Amino acid sequence: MGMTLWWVTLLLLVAGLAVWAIAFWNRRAMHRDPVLVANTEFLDAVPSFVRSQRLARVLRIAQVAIAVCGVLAASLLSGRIASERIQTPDFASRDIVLCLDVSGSMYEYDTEILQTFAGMVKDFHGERVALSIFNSTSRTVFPLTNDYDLIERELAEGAESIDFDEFGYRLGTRDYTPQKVAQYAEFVEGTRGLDDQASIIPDGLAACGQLFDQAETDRSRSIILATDNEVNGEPIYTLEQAADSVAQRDIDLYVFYPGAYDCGPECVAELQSATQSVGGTIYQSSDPDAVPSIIQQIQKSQAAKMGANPAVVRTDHPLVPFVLTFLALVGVVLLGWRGR
Amino acid sequence: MAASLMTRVTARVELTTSSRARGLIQGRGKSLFKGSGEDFDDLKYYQPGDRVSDIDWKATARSGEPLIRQFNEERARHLSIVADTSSAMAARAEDGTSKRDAMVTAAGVICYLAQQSGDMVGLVAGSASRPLQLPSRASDGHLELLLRTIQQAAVPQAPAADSAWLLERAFRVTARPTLMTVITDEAHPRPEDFALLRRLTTRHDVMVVRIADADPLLADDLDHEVVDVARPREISELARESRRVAREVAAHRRARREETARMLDALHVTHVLTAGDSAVVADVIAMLRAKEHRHARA
Repeated sequence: MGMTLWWVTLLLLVAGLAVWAIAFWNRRAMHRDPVLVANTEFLDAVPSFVRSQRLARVLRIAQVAIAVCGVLAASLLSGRIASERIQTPDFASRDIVLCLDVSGSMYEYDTEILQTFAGMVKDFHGERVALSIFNSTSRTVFPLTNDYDLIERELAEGAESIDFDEFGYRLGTRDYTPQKVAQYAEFVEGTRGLDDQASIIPDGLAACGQLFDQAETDRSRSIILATDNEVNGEPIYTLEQAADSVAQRDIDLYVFYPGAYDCGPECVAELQSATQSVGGTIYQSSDPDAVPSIIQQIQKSQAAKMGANPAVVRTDHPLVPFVLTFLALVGVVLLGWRGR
Repeated sequence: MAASLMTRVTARVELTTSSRARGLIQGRGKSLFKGSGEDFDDLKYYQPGDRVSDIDWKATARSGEPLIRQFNEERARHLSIVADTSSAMAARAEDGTSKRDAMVTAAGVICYLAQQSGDMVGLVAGSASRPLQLPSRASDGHLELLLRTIQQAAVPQAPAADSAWLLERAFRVTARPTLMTVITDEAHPRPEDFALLRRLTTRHDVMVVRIADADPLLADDLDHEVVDVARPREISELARESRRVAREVAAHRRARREETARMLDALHVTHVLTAGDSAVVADVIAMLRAKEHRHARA
């Protein structure tokens, strides 16, 4: 929601204020040469007079209030309140797999990614989304689907469940309710199939690549992989192989790297080279709050790649201010008529 | 101001009395103020500078010395005007004229009569913060000054009406018995001024000229706002239009007028309620005639 012609609104409001100010400063001059009378104190003892005065005052206040409402509504109306939406016509044939590393080091970033996507789902028309999480093994939370109710629900639930500082909990620095612990345990269930291993990123990525169906149809396919690339075990694939297998299936790879946790620069370098060798893009930010803007960038670059010129579609919402303006006008006319 | 106030009042009084009340003021003080004016106090030897017309030729013939009639100044009647020069008097009168003009004219009528009979007129006016007082004098210049003082005092910026102070002041500063004319408006003197007025009547011959106020609703002239001169409150058009309000207001005003009239009647004070400057000359003269008749009967 924004105003297309906000300066017109501003202008009208300033004009309204100016008119009021001029009227205020000249209120004496605007009095129609008053007739002086005397000895009217007794009027306060006349009940009907007191009532009339009170009523007149209420009417006057109502008139002013309605006039102010009218001016405000008219200014809003002339400001053209409109909602803007970036519409990308060919965007509908997208398949997106969210591929999240749910090792303990990633928990804040995963939550942000899931929340951001949950918020974006309502703007989707035809896109399909899948969610896969992995640690030592992979679990598909939900496969590619365009059941947006389900997607939104699952993403929201996932975001809530994964908002869990596992290391902190184990070290005893963070405390959670038993329900919360159970919720988290249930969500990451199946991602620790191998004992003593964690964050088998290449295998997780390869598993995500398997999630795409409809290989024969011409769809845009992308994986959003969030990982810190700190492998802690024996992967079947190397990262290069996993990236290649993804690339072979004509899948675009977008990697979000939150910064080193335990591993040195060689982890980043490996992730970077593997990503770039298959034409993917890597984003780095250690700030979980940067996730939404990164996902926006992914959206944009994807749109550009698909040749879809994102068009800004403005939809005017004149109804409320229009009705208010109209009602205020009617009110002013009616009250003014009454006051005559 | 081009013409003097006295000149204008004189013209109006003469216009009115020429047809309606000629008898009232014929002769020097003959009718209005009995026993004054013509009475001379003493004869005295003519001194250079005395008026030749004052020589009493018969007495001169008898004594062989030029004698003149001396009209004792002390014998001349003293009139006093007690003018309510509060802000209320700067407002509009019932007939649409200014109450102040009506007050000046009413005072002018008294001054005119005093001028005709050579009486002296004093003034008590003003407010507690700025009292005004003029001594008893008979000269034309003094009368003009008196009227002008009233005219200049009764402005919208003047303090609010305080009839108790005015009557008290009139009693205190007027030492000798006078024919006292109180000029105020329809709301005054207030019923609570009864004691003050009664005390005033023990020493003075009191008359009260009351100038009626304009209708505060002014329902037939909604183009103009109505503002009370003493308290700036707006009277809404809603109230001004309402018949019911008009009825109740009229009843209230009638009751107030009647209450004051009853009080003045009870004190045997001659009084008149005049609609404003257009009617004040005729009303004051009518009041004086009524007073005359009462005196004649008494």
